[in-house]
Amino acid sequence: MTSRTLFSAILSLAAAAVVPADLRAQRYEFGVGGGGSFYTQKDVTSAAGTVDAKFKPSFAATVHLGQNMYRYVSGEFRYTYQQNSMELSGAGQTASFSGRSHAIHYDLVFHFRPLGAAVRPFFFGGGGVKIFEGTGEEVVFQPLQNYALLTKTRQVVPLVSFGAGVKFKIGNKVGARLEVRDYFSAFPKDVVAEAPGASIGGGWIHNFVPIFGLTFLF
Amino acid sequence: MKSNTSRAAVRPAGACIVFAIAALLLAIPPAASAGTFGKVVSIGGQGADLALDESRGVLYVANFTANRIEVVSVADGSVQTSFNVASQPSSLALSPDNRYLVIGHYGNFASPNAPRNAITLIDLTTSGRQTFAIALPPLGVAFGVDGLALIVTSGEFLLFDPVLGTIQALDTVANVSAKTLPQPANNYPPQIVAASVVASADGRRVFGVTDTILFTYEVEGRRLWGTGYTSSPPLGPRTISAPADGSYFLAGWAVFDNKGLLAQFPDPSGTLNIGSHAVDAARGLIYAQVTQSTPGSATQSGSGSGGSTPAPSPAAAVPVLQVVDADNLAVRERLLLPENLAGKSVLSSDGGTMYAISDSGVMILPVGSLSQEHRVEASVEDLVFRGSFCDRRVTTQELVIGNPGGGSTDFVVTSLLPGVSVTPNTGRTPALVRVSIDPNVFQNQRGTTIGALRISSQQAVNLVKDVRLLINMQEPDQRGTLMNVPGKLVDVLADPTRDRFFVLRQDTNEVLVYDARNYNLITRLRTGNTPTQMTATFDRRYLLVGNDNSQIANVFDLETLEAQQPIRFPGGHYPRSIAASANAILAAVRSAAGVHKIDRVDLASRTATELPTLGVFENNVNINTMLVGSPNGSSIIAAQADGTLLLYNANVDTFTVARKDSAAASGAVAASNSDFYVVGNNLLNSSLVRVRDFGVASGTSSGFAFIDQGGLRTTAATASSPGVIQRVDLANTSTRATRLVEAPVLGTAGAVFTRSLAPLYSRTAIVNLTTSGFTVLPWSYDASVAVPRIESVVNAADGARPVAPGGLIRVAGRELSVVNLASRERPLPTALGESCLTVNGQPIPMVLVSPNQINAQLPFTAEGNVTMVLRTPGGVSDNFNFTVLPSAPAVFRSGTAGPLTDIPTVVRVKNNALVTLSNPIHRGEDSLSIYLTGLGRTAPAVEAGNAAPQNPLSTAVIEPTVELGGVEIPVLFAGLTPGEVGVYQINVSIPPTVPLGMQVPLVIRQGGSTTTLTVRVID
Repeated sequence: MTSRTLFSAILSLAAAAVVPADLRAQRYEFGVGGGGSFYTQKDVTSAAGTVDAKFKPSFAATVHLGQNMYRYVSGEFRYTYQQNSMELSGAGQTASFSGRSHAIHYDLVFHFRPLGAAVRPFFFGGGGVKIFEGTGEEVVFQPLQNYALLTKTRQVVPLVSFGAGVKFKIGNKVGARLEVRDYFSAFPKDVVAEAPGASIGGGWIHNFVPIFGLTFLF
Repeated sequence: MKSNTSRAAVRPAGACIVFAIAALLLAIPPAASAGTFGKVVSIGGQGADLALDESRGVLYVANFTANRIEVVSVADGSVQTSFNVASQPSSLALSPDNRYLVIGHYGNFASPNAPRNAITLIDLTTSGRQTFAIALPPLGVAFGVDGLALIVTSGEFLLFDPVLGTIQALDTVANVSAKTLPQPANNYPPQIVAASVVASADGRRVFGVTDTILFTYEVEGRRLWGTGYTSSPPLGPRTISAPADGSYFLAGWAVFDNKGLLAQFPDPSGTLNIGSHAVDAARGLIYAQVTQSTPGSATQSGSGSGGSTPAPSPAAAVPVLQVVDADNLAVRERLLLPENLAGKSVLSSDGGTMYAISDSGVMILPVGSLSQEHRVEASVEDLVFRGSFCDRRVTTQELVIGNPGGGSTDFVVTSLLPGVSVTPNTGRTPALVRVSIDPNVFQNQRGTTIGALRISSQQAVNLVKDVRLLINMQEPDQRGTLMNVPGKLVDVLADPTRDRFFVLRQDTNEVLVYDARNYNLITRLRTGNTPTQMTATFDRRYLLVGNDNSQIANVFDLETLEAQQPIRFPGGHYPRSIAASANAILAAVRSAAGVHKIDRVDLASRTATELPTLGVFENNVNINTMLVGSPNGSSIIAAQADGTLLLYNANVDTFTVARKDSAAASGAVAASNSDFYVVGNNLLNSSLVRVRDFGVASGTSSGFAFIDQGGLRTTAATASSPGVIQRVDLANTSTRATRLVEAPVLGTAGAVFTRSLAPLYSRTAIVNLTTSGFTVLPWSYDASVAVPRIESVVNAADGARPVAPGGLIRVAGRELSVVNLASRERPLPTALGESCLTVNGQPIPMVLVSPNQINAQLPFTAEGNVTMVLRTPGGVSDNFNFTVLPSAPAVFRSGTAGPLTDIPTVVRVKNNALVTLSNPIHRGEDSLSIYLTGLGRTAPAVEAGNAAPQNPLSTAVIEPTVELGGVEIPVLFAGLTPGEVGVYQINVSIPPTVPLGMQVPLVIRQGGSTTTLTVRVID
């Protein structure tokens, strides 16, 4: 994804906050949160053997704008930033490369308790895009580059988001939220590129993101 | 009596000591300076003697012809006053208490005139004056520390008491003839009186010289030693001087101590009335004007490097004051005088000023403040330029023209050799001067051409020594590493048990001791004057050095390299050649008596005695005789220039062979452990019968060294030609010749025999005395070196066959070089590691050489079908034919990254790093520099071997195009990389339209040539 694409996504998020007048009677939710970011790893196979390709665990920060459309159902636009370095390891060698990602998606949230309840368990699912970026310093030689190349580039991949959590009412307009989600996306093979003669197993990758956040209702 | 060269000589008469003089033709530097040193005080007459009265600040000068004593102020050099005295004041002396001035009057008039010989006593405190008539003419007068004046007349030694006015006869003098007056015109006091007497500053000794006697008077013991002598030429200048302690004295052109002649000025003219000298013992110097018989000619006392230096312009009429070392008369400096000195000199007590009788009267020479005078000197003695058939670059060296005193002095530098340019050639000191050699002028020369830079000055008071130019041009088959050693080198000797060697430098009277492991100079050992030959004693403990202008042989401890008590030779014997056997140390001496001898040395007593006979033969040898001992001590061969050969057998301790089978002999002399000998071109058996003639085809014999069952022999046609070294097998007639980088030293008329080869004790190398200094050859220098063979020529970038003008190439083959060597020189050399590569006969610049590969640059003029030839010490390769295309772009594969090698030299400008899979090209963002070769000719043109210019940039005449993934990308620049040789670069920018990919083809097209590589392209 180019910077123009990213800019368009942010515009979309802002536009979502501008709801039609007939929906203003409903309550909106704005939330921020943070937590961890954990990826599953991939095998990279070449004639020389197999090494692991992964995004190293790191933190995630998220912001969302939700709309309680019904008593048990709401919808959310969410942006999540994750800073996970990339790493290749195996054959006694390790290659690292700084990286980050931007997840932009829309989820439908289904609650087990009605709007206004003190505790509202929920589950959700949705989709969007995830932008992977390699941000490390390019060097003429990377270890294990005969398996894969950790690349300073940007790649947009489709994203499926799902997970579950629970909301706690702290006050009339403030709540807390604990959730775990899986950003299930296509593996960014431009950023972690297969070396000639090598292949990265499986096309998609799980990204588990536990988040604790605060929400503000208005 | 054998033939001998006519020589200046002085020797004791009868049973007295005999002294002899060698006829050295010492080179006198050019008289191109216009300044002069010293102030002339004219006295309107002819000065005969002088005395310095420092307590009164005056100098008393005896005006012989005007019958006056001139009183000269030492402050301003003016004649303060004069007082008339009796006729012909010829000598004077001041009493130690500065009260009395005693004047001798040489009034030896012949009938009908009455003699007026007298002594005048002047009391300087009262101006009282007394004159005493004496019968015989006084020759000189000097005060001793006892307050008595020693007066020497033609018949007796008198002691004069100035207090009592009494004269006491001390001894008589025999065989001294006094000239009578009048004398013909053009006779001066030193010729008329012909004597000089001086007291040491401590007053304890008085020394004197006349036409026939030398004497020393010990004042405190009132003992007198006199000795008659004969001298040819006369012992002039007729003056005498001594150091303050009277430990030795200098009479005329020779230095004596109480045992004999220590050293003498080479090749003196013996003119009595020209010259003077004074000894500054505190500084270890002698200031002297001693004229030479043949000024401007080169020395003939020894062959050797430096002997062929162009002779400076004759300076016969130029009065020169030499500043020399007191111990061996080595010349430090030469100063131009406004006129000739003409008699006695005295030094002020602080050594700051020398006062000397001169043509006009007296001269005042501020020798202690030379640093305030305008002088000029060069920072180097030699400038050595090395080139070859394959190296035609203009080479430049620098030297500094300075004033030793630090002042600013004008100078002009002139080359005496065409093809040499000097920039700047005029200026003021200090100045950095660049001397450039155009190798094209010397391209047909093989060997070392000798030239000179002449430095002159309008202000300088010194004679500036020429800077020797040595321009060596060599073919690859000329072997040896040339080490420059300035000066006249006349002998080389390897230490018999240590890894070092000795080189005898004659012009500075010293032995240069070198470490044979690194050829660094360890130390310098001072010898007598004009050292000629060295030898090691058989016990390997001492190094002995013979001298041609000293009657001593120097002795040095080989362990400590310290000087020991020298060996004294009989009077008149100068040990020109010296050799040791297990039984005897012999010296061939030049004898002042005219019959030259062989003396035997007693090392224990440090004396030598003349052998009564040489076995059954007369002890009468040629002046040009060279002795060489066999390493095992069994024998000593004596080779004589008239062809006579003698052999001393150590076992029977006598000479057992004497032969004369040829009219002359010259060249190398060597003795083996196996009863073989070499003289010149002849191999001789134990009876000195010729068993083999090496011939003269390779040139004049220079050196020979026996090694095991063979030998090494060096020859040369001339001093400027290449030398030849032959490995000789004694068992058969085979020889294997190898050319040397320059000629070994050759004999001269005055020294026909040479020793120029020294195989080192460690058997690591062979040292050769050669024109520029010495040349080192590896011990197995002639080990088989095969003829080179060229197998392929490819471009040095990607190893593909197409090559283009100006491109870097890689030559593969066998025996391409005897060494591995790379050059960082700019321009690149066309001769490297003794390899020389040509294309169509033109030497081409090389980057590196190795046995199997040479990297080089093709000339920009090479195109089409060309022929390559390689020359090495192994020979000349067969022709290798190949085609040079107008353009043949090839990207270097010289990049490395971690374990990766052979990476194309495509560089991302953004991070200045090679494009690789992990450093890919970013389309739309990046620009690249592609380094390659083979883009062909450029505008402006750059000569092969030279670094490309920065401004203006040199662009390819045939413009290349570049495609990335099939998309033509903009070429920003294509041409030579500034500062590099044969390296081009293409600068491109990457548009966003090029395709992405892991292996996107990057194609460079130029003319009909294409090169392709793959790169990774990403966003």
